[in-house]
Amino acid sequence: MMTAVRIGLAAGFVGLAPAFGADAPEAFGSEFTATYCQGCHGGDNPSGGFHADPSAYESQDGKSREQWARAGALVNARLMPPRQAPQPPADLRERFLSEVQVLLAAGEPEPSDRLVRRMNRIEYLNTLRDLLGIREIRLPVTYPDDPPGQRFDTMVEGTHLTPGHLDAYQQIAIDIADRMVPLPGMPVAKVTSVRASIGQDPSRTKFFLRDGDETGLYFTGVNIAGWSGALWDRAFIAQASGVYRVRIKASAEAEAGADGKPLRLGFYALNPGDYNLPKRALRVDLPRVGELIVSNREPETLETEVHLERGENFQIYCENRLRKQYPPALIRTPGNTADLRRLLASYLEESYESSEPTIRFESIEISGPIGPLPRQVRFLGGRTPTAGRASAEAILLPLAERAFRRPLTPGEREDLISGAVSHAQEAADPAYGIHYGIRKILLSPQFLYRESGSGSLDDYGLASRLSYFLWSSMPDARLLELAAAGQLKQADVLEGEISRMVRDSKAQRFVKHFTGQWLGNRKASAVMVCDVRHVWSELIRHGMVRGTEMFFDEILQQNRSIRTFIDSDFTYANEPMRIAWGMPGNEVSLRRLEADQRQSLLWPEPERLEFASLGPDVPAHVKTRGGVLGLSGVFAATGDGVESSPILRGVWVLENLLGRPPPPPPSDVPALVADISQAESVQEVLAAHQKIETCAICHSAIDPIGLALENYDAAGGWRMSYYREEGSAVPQAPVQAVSEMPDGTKLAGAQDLKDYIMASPGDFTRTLTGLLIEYGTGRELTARDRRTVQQIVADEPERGYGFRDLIARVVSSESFATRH
Amino acid sequence: MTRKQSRDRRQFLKGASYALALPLLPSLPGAVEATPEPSNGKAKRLVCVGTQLGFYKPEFFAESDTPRLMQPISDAGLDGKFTTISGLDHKGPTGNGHELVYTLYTGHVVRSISLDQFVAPTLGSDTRYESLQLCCGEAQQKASLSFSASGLPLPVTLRPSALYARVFGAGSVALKRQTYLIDSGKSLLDELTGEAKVVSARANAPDRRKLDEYFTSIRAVEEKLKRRRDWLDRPFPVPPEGLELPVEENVDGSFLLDNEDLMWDLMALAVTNDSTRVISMTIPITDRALMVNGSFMSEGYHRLSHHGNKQEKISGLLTIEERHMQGASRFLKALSEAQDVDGRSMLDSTVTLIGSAMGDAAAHRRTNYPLFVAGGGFNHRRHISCGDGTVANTMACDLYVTVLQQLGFEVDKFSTSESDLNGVLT
Repeated sequence: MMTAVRIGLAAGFVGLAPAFGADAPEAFGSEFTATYCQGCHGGDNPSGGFHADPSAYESQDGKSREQWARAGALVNARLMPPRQAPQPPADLRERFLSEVQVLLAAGEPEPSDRLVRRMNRIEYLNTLRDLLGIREIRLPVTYPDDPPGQRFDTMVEGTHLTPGHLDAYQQIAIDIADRMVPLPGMPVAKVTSVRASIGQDPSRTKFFLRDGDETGLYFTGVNIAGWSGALWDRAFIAQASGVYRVRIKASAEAEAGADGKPLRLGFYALNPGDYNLPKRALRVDLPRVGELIVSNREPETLETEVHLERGENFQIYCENRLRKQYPPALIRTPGNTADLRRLLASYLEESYESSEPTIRFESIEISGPIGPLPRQVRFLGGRTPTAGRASAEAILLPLAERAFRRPLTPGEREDLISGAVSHAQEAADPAYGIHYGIRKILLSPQFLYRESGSGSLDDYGLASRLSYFLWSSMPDARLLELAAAGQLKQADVLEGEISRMVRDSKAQRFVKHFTGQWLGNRKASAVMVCDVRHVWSELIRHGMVRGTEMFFDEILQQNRSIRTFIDSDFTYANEPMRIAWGMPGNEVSLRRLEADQRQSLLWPEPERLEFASLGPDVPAHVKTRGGVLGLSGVFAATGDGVESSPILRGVWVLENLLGRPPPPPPSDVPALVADISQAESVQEVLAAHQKIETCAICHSAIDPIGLALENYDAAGGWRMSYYREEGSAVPQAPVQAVSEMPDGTKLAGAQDLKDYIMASPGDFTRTLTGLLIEYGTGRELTARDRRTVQQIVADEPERGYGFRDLIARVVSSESFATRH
Repeated sequence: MTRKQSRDRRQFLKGASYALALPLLPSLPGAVEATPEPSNGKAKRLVCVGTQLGFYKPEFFAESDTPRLMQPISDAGLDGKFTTISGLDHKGPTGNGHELVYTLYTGHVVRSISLDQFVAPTLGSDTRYESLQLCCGEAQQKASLSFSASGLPLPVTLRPSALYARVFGAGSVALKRQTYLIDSGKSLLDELTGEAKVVSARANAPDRRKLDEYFTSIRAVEEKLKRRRDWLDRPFPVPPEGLELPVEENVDGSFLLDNEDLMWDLMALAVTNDSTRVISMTIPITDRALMVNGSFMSEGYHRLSHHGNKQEKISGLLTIEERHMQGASRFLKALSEAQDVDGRSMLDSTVTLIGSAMGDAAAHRRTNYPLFVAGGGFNHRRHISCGDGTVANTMACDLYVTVLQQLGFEVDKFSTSESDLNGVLT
């Protein structure tokens, strides 16, 4: 039997704005559609075959469901009613959307976060690190990726636990137990290597050799083809976590290095099994685990200790090596990049044969572990585990309480301890009991799933949710104490905690993951940019990703108005980006910067650009790069690295800034793929959409937004004309970033678009608030959440919320503290 | 146009839940799923190789004389054992970018299982590894051609030394320790099942459904541990004499060709010593200039692929692609010299596919893929043309249906297939 559900009947709806006499919810839907829709979508021959009468809705009919879903989205996106028809006020649009959502929900479950969820990949890793104090934990390569295609990776629907996960969990549990309590009989390593045995591969060691020296290696190797000028002894691998002794025979060729201090070797831990290792040249995140100052001019054996985790090796790098200075020929002349490439190549060839004073190295001896790491000692309370319950309880219970993020029930305590004790007895060694207990804690559903129950969260639940929201990890001791004392829900306490958490360095995880997903940083980190078409270097990628993060972080830390996201008088860019943006005053080329980076291991960080203080020689388009619609990363993320896509950009702005996501293309319309390399103009390609009525409804809103941004290429650089393949007969087409929005607003370039968005700031507040709730609770917005959002928007101060204030407002809302 | 519709489609088992192209549990990544039993296929191994930068097609398709890229195969005496096929693609979007090259063995279906993973549970049930996923050194992009039933890319092994360790063992395994960990792991899972049931009994209904995943996963991992326990005591094959890896391993993109050579050779060993029967290997994209015979080429591989029909660039590109095919010819030759248990050569019982979903890297076009099939007991005809290379192309998945049937799977559909190539290949 078909069921017809009338709008407003499906749920008890409390109207926020009973605007046009419709106090009763059931009357709202029919009154709204009668006023705004049925002029066209009514009668015997409704437009588009859609009869906009809520009582005609058939919840079991797929076509009817799709039509109503589209209707809701189109009204929300202000594409319906059409421009020439009377327009409903914003609050009625919003209410209509809610009603449609309720209507559709009658056929299937509402979005919900009631389900328990496993930690996602990032949360799991962070939680392990914070729980155990282990510096570097790597997931086995078989660990499944989080399913892509979700709004946020915190969304509960995507956090299934699969056999692949559990298998990886049990391997990690073993690995971690080994690192906390090494089982007896762990192997010990001792390796001695001299020049001949440390580098037998000529393709590599040639960078470290010097003519006439048969026994020494020199830290002069520049970073070419992945070699960072670092050496490591491939014969060594730490068989157990612990402290290792390193003896190196070396001498210094100069009194002082580049920084004026004695020449110095730095030790950086690395995992030889890590397949990102080849990118080590591009990494600054290898943990530094030791150093050795070499001030002696004659070869001497020097000794130091390094702290290593199991499976690690370490590379040695002369940190303040004297650098080769670049000849003037490498300085940029306009349009001469090909030449520079060749020059640089031959220059690099020379530089690893050059003899800037450095450290000469003869041999290395590594042995250990000679003792436990400080964190291992701390974990066992400075004692070795003994037989019996007391010792097992003292070690395992505190770990379990933190791992479960709440106190254990008596049954849980008993299960854990009796299992460990009996296992220790079986193996006749208390260490086995602890080892087993750790593995068990790390495989328990209470650890792997992070929330349970329904309705209002208790204090521990709130502590967890808050902590995973802002830190992507478990709550710290203070949050758990406040939860235990029952104080976390007090408004002033909660607000204080949010301030504290935002200032904590762990909040950078929120910055990273929220910008990673909202502002496209994850995509920008991975998109393969065509360097034939763009001014491009990996240094630009680093700059755009960090630039977005730093921009976001400033707004967060300074509690700036959230409208700063729409437009601002500052942005962040590193030097290579400024070259790509066409800023004058930098008489260096991109390739020269790359060469510098290769010698230093350091990446050029973005700096704050305040537009007002930029000189008159800086092009005007740089000074209008305020807001997220000036960030290179956003542009890179909404393209494929080859060509910009006005459609993807338009959809991105509608979804992420205006909160008017267009409905997906109807199922019977094939995707139109634009190949703009042959067309006369982008406008021409996009006009194809506008000719088909079904397409035109949405594309009339999508395309003009994208077109206004066409001066930004797919790598976020500035352009005045389109790229043409070399030798192409077609002349270069100029960029015309001119368009018209469906409401008649004319846009000429990005600044007009920002002004357009700024004209209805409530839309942005609504969008951002909704995103924060989704990210934090892990559920798609429910009708109740939408009311929370509306209330928050209604309360917004004149100048807009401070970003941190908005976060506080979200966290203290009923939506955040409840599992719906 | 030589393509014919197959008139004798194999009998397709009706009634059973063989909705094959669809994962049974789409929302549950990695779920254990039913795969049909193959019934005495003509071949029993599948090797799927793909490049991310395509092949230069004028020297790839063996339409008339032996093109330059097929010369190594011919030189190895394997004429009559291979076919190049033109006119196949996924009829998907043809736009820019490198993203869609990963769909080579899945068909243009977002998040669907790849051909190799489809056959792996069945073909790989008796070997140490159900399947292996390889990539020739560092991947600048994500690299895997293999996707699980729920469309998640599988991680790749990209170090030849790591592949060596998997095939020949990583030296002295601490057997006692391994045994202890597996055995205690099994009792751990038992205990947890009991305790989690208590948690589950307290939970509300949606929570309980979710916890079912946990129990299902525990059971699946118990099975895995059992398989690992079974293989623990069995010795690894002994590496052949003279097989030595370079002391220093550099998997940077510049050394792609050296790593690729090693991968082809190790792959031949992994197949012939029956460590696995299903392999996928990616020949990845790199911007780096490649090292060839001890010196770097003048331009990066990626740039060479944007040849713009300049002779100089094409010649550089062909130097690289020739090396890919030389590796392939060594691999195929090794298989042809190895005897399968039934007396045939292993080449005849192994289907090897080499191709790319980047039809033309110079223009970023994804029509008319370069595709190469070798061995597998097919009726090889050097070259088959399935379309005019522009729009009137055939679904690449039609080829995969024929491959699946050759491997003994009773299917007449895979992903976006519309028919099969039985008429021309079998």
